[in-house]
Amino acid sequence: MKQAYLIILIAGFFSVSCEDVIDINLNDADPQLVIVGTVSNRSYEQRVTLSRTVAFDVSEPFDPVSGATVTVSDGRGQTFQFVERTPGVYVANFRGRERERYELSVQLEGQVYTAISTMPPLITADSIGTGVRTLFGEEQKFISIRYADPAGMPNYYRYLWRVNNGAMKMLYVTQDKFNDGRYVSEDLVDFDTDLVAGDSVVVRMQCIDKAAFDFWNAVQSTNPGTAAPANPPSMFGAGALGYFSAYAESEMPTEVQ
Amino acid sequence: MQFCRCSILLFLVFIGPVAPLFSQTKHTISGHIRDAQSGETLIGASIRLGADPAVGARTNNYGFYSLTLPAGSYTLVVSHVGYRTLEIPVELAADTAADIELHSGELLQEVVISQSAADGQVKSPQMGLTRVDMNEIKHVPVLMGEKDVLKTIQLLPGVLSGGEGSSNFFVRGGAGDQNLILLDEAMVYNASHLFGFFSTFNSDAIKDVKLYKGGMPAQYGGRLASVLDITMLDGNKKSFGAEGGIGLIASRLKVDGPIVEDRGSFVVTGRRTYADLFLKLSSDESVRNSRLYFYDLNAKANYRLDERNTLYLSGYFGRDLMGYSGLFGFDWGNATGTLRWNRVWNSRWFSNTTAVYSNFNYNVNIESDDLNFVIASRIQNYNLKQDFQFFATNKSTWRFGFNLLHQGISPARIDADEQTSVNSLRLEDRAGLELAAYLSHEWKPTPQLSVIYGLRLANFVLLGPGTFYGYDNEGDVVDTRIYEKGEVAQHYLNLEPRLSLSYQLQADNSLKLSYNRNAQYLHQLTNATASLPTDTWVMSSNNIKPQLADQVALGYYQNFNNDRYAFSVESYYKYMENQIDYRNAADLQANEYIEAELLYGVGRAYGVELYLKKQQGRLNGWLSYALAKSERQFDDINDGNWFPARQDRTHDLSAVAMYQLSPRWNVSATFVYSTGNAVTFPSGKYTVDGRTLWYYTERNGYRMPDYHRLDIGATWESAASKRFQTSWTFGIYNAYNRKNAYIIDFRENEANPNITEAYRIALFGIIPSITWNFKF
Repeated sequence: MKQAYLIILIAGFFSVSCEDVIDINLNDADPQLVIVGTVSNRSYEQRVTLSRTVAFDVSEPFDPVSGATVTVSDGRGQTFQFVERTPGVYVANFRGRERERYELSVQLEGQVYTAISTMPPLITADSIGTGVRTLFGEEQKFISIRYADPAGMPNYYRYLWRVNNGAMKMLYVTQDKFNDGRYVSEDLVDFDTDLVAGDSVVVRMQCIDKAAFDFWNAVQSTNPGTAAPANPPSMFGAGALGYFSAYAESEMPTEVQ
Repeated sequence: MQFCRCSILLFLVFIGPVAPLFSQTKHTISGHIRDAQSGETLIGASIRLGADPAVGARTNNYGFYSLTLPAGSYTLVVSHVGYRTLEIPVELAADTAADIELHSGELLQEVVISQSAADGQVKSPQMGLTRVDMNEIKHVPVLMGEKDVLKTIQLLPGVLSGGEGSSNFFVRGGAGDQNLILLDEAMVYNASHLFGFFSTFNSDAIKDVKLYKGGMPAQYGGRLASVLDITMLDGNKKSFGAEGGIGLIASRLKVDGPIVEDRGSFVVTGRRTYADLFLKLSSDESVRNSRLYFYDLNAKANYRLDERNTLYLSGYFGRDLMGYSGLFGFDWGNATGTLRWNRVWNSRWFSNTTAVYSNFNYNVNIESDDLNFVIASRIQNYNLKQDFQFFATNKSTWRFGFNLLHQGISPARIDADEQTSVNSLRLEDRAGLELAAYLSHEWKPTPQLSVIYGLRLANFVLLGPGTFYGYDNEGDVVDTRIYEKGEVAQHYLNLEPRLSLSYQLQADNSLKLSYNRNAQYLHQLTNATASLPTDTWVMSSNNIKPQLADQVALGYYQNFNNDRYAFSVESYYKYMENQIDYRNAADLQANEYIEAELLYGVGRAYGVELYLKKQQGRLNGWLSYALAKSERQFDDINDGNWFPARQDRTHDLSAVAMYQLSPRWNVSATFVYSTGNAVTFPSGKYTVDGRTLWYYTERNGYRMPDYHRLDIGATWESAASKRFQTSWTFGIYNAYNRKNAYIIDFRENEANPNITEAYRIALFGIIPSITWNFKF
């Protein structure tokens, strides 16, 4: 529930709210290690990035951390060694498998950070198309995908899209709390992007595990009306932010009608 | 050592019998005090001896007084704020029943205006109580010209506003759900309309408003921070009348009159907003078919069966409705009903029996091509109260009774049809029973010392049927227990002592001391800054312990210049246990394991409150200032360190001035200033998957900018002599167009996403309003 937005909407109805950019003096916290690791079923190259938090007013938000020893081992006893390709970006060549359990280990300055993620089975959509709805007199187009959610187990999804030649952009994460086992229709919209007929859109649907969902859900449920915003839960425990996610992904292209 | 002596006496009185009355023959004069024009009973009116003003009584909530005196002849002085003081010679030779009528006084003829309320703060033993004068509310300028009780009490010291566009309020560092809001004794679960822009209380329907910030008498219980006790008007017993108003966003109408003259009366008030009518002007059909309005309906009737028995029936029904055709609908509201039976057993015994029903629910309808479902939630209670008042002597009044409260919560229900891609769901209902008994004694052992002390014993039982989970520290289920209907799932017993003590130093100043312990068994869960109708209510359980608060307060009261000015300073310290906060990204909606999302900690709040009121003359008004601190400590938040509560505002100042310019014109102004809320802002940032995320270090370590605002108003009234009276109210909210930050948030710059910026949203700029009122 985006309460604050709702209230602004009401205030907007009385046409009274206003918005402007302001200067705020924010503290510079001690830099904190950030670990982001993913294992995908579609890619032959897996990637782990290491960085540190920066001050709010720094214009380059990525402060790479080099010289770490990064490995991922799977449930069959295989260990993949990552190499640092560019500063802070570590890669290894292997392909992720569904239902496999992966353990990420990062060794840095005598500390070891570990996290575990199990890749969920792949669930794919069986249709993709364009939908239209009218909101306050304006037509809004969206991409609608349909899929059957497996019954009797919790499932978590993450959606990304790329519109025309733009960058791949994460939309949001969902779970099947209210539609377990249903034939689900997911309407994908992005309030920053107006779709028009002829746009080419590539949708990525990722089946993620609970920890990755919790991470992104914490990010997306923090809004201006959140009483106490906090860092999303870290899988690495105290001392490092970020997450490690093994996901099963499918990609669907479509053209906006 | 007044205090020591008193605590010994307190002990003796609790265990010992009531001291017998001695020698001299005593008689009691008792009855009701009413408004001469409307027959409306007056609450808190004073009746005193002309010869010795220290001896006297006040009317209770039903306008009943009882004064016991030695046989003899007296002059009784009867007074009430806004009424002409009346002197009655009485020859007291036997118990006497005397109903008294007071005439309301013209505001400008200040000589006749009673001082009873004026010196009330100094003389009354009750501490932490503020009465709101409904006549003042009329003149205090407010948003959109909708006069509002909840907005006006936020101008009192120690009462913080929930913020712009919020009816929520915070008393002495407490949370919004720690206020007990009663409308004719019925608990009101959600006191706001339109997400808080307006309160559910239509001022036209209200007779009396009392706010207890501490030292609550023992008949009140169930909330930690405050009691807001609102009494509805009874209706004119003598003649029919109507009044109403047409404002910018709402219209009001009130009709009242006798059922049988001088025996019974009724009053019906209604209010409805019509912002939605503008929607009809839209060219878009779905906008035209959208809804956005609220309404209130208050109705009350009373009937005096005979000299001793009176029945009151009152109800409130209000609802907000919003919807966008073909997409969603959302409606919520309260309904309350109160049936009361007053009985005057004899000149010294008064009893009241109350049966209350109160309900709050909401419905959300989602419809679209392939979605069609309804979300519904409800909380309701049945409450039976029995209250006795025994006016033993003119120095001693006993009050005792019990209270049986059955509360039921249906947290969430989703009804979906088969074709929809949503599952129907029903979370288990919860039911709880709160049985409380109380005893309190108002006593004046010496002419200087007066005291109200009491005890409340509350027993809360969480009832089956249901499945109750136990959780470990991580919030994982470790224990599942199933209870059948009627079985006790959890049980808590709390003893709540209450004390309010006043020592009169001189005729116009006094010292007061109070202590109270309060327990709370119902909790509202929200992890958002604004409170919404969809916030989840939970009762105390095997996981959620009752919230407890202990508060001590010390105050000094001084009137100046013949009670023209009243000054008070109160300081308090409050310690709160079993406070509730949330795990990160807690899921509080329709969650079967919602108690797994909760964290428990403690809180403390302390401060000093200054209040200076000018209560007579053409210029009226008050200055209030509070210096306060409110902090919380949770093991799992902020590394276990104390952090400021969100509503911790160091300075909070309100100035209210009302000036009678001429018999027709009254002008007014309100200025408020407060330190910004404590908030959590990022102290750094990082990127994940190309997205910039904020890095937070400290809970509520930052401050919103200071808040200040000036509102001005003016009222023109037609001559009071006319049968048909009209008035115009003009207002300007936020007169100097201050852009107070409602929200400060952070985002990536649109042109360069690597640059991050802070932005501010201000809700209201300068807003004029105009209201036309009539009365006949």
